[in-house]
Amino acid sequence: MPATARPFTVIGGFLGAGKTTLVNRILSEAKGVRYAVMVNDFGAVNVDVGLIAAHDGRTMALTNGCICCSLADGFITAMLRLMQEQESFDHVIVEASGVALPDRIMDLARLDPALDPDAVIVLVDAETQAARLGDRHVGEVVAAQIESADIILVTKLDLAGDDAFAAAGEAVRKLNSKAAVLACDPADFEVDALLGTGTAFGFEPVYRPVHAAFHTLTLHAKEPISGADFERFAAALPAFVIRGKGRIALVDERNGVLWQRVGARMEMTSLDVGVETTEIVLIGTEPLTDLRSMPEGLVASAV
Amino acid sequence: MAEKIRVLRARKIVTMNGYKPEGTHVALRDGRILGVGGAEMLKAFGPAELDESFADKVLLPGFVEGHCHAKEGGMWNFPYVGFLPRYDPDGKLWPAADSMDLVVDRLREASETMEDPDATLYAWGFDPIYFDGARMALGDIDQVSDSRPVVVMHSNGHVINVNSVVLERAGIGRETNVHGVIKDAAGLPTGELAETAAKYMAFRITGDPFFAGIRANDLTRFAQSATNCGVTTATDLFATFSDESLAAYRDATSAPDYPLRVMPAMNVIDRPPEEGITALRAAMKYNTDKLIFGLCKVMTDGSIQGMSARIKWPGYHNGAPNGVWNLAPEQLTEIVAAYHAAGAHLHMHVNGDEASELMLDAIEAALVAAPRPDHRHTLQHCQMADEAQFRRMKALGLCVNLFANHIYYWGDQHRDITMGPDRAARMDACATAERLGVPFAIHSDAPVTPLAPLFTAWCAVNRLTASGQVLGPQERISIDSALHAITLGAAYTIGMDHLVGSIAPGKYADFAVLEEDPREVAPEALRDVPVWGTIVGGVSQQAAGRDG
Repeated sequence: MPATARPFTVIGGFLGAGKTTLVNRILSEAKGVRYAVMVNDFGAVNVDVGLIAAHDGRTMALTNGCICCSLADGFITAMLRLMQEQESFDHVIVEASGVALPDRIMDLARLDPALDPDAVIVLVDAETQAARLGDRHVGEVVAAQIESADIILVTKLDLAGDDAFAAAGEAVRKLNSKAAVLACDPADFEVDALLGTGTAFGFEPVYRPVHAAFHTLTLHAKEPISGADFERFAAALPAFVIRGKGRIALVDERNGVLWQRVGARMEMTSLDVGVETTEIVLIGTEPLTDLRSMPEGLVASAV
Repeated sequence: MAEKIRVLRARKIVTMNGYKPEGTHVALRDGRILGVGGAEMLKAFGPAELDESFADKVLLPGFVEGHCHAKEGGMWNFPYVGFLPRYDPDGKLWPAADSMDLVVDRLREASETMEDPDATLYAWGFDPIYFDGARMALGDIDQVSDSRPVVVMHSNGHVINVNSVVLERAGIGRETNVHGVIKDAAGLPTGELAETAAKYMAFRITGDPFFAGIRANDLTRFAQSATNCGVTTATDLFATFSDESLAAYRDATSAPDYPLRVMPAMNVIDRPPEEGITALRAAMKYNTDKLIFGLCKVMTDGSIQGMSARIKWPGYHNGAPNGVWNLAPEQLTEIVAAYHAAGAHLHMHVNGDEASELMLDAIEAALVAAPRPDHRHTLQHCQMADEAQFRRMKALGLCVNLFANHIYYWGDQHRDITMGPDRAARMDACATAERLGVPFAIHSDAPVTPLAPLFTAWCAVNRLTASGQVLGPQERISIDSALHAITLGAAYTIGMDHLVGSIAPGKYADFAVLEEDPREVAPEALRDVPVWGTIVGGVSQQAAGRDG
């Protein structure tokens, strides 16, 4: 994959789960990342009017560098048009329709070398999920959406209450035991942490809470570390680590390695250059203390 | 001063009106019908000029195609490789490509006529469902060219086959592991790409000419096809209301003597209803006698042969999983309610019986919330509806436009693969619609099947499949009923029965000009009745001379 490949994130979930709210949040809180957001319904996009720089019916350009593209002419047509302008964005977000299978949309990024598959994020409405899963018209598609997620955001907790969250979590776990499951309000969410963008993965040796809902831990090693040890460590990371990214110097590898984790899914790719030191950032929904099987030489950066 | 009166004399005029079913003379003025009857028409309205051009022809009301697409005109920019023979707008016959070798030959011939060796060859109309399970493989399509990209669109419009040139440039190979990249037993891609992502990647290489918006030239060619088969009013039943498309409709239909009345139906599932209703009303302000906006299209499910229609228990005969919704059922229901309340005229694509049930529920709820007499909302395709659903259509005042051509084109496959013998026998149930009093039309869905109402009528009358078997003989209808369905019946479903669909005073002077009276031929010969051409608003145009 070329270094310029743009991360590609799919936001799925059934109607009313909060997808559009999350999209609005992403567009308003972009903090320098130029997101290209593909939406089904411009009318529902609710950014500050002052943020809209131009609007031609198909594309809305925002003053913060983000663009918002309509899927009205069909998904393929809209994506082909977007990819003509690869220089104009850093990261693609697709808001899937309520009955779409987000994993099928992610296939685009698995195929296109100009795109880098990031995460399938599925929102689940805690209040209605049981009814949705039992619905004769849409039950199967709602289940398939949950099954394909890397990260599941359980929403509408204010309406549903703690018991409903517990029930939703259980229902979701039955369908998908690997995804990171978070409770969240999509209107008040740390965009960088969820999407692994901007300063969240800056490899800056800082340890700071990204948001009340998230905990970040930065690890570093001054000398190359053992590949086998690192793999053991990564495999043992707790499920609440929703994202991780590292630039790793391994003992037996000339080139550095890029390690990425989304939900429980991890991949390692070789970098084109050698690196001397290791920097790893982990983002979790619980405090990242007491990590087991830490490779020799890898230590938490100073708070 | 009013235009001079002209009286056409014909061998016979079949009016489809109730008070005077037949005549020999029809008086015209200002593009409209003054009167129809016998020789007395010559003097009935004052001095008239007698036009004997059609003295040996049979005139019927211009045929009305209630469900087709103007892309029928644009598809012929590309070679056709369908299993069944087909005429293009110029009257050229594209013979059956009914073996894989013939498909490859046709593609190779097309490739050899292309000047630019690097240009992509696109073709359409391919349907492997006829090949007893055989699919197109790289070994087939790579015989066409090893230098240029080749893209073959299947007749369902959803699946493509590409050659190795496309696969290599798209980086699709053995290690590719995504849905829709079909592989052979050895794990190698076959070139068949079935899902959005796989098609996207191919079109990233070649560009996508199939889904570009409508162009004025498409509409010109579409009208040419219409003339060839006697059609004078046709829908374009899935229209994108982009500025370019709207301009294309206006440009094409405002050409002098454009020989077709076009009714684009706005796709309503791509934007919020409030916005769509505003766009629809804006477009309607520019309605002319040849371009009539007002219809709306609701896409609910997919297709039966593509296994993407939503089917009730017991589901697909071959055990395929249930199909897909284009939008969530509750969104579709909300859209129906909003457009109904705004006074729009809805045409709802429902292939499977779960989809038709959902729209029956949606219309019922919309009518309870906002009662409206004579709404003419129409279930389109509606191939699987059972008698109970037809009774609900009657009760709710719905019309239905049945996909009669499917019986011939995919009837064998529906019986053997998709629906099984019993449900296949009641597909596209014209006789049930007639018996239960549901206003009905029949259609081609061109370019999915050919635009040719007499062929569509033949399908409804005979219910013969491509292999020559009768599918559901009880659902056959009479020739008179089928002719009604392609004239006044179809006009009723699109709210045009006061202007077209029969030959009567005040209506547009639109005629199908035939060489024989279709009511007098044997039922199995209905599709062979020759079409001379059409008259639209009193202006005649001859069909393109046909091969063979």
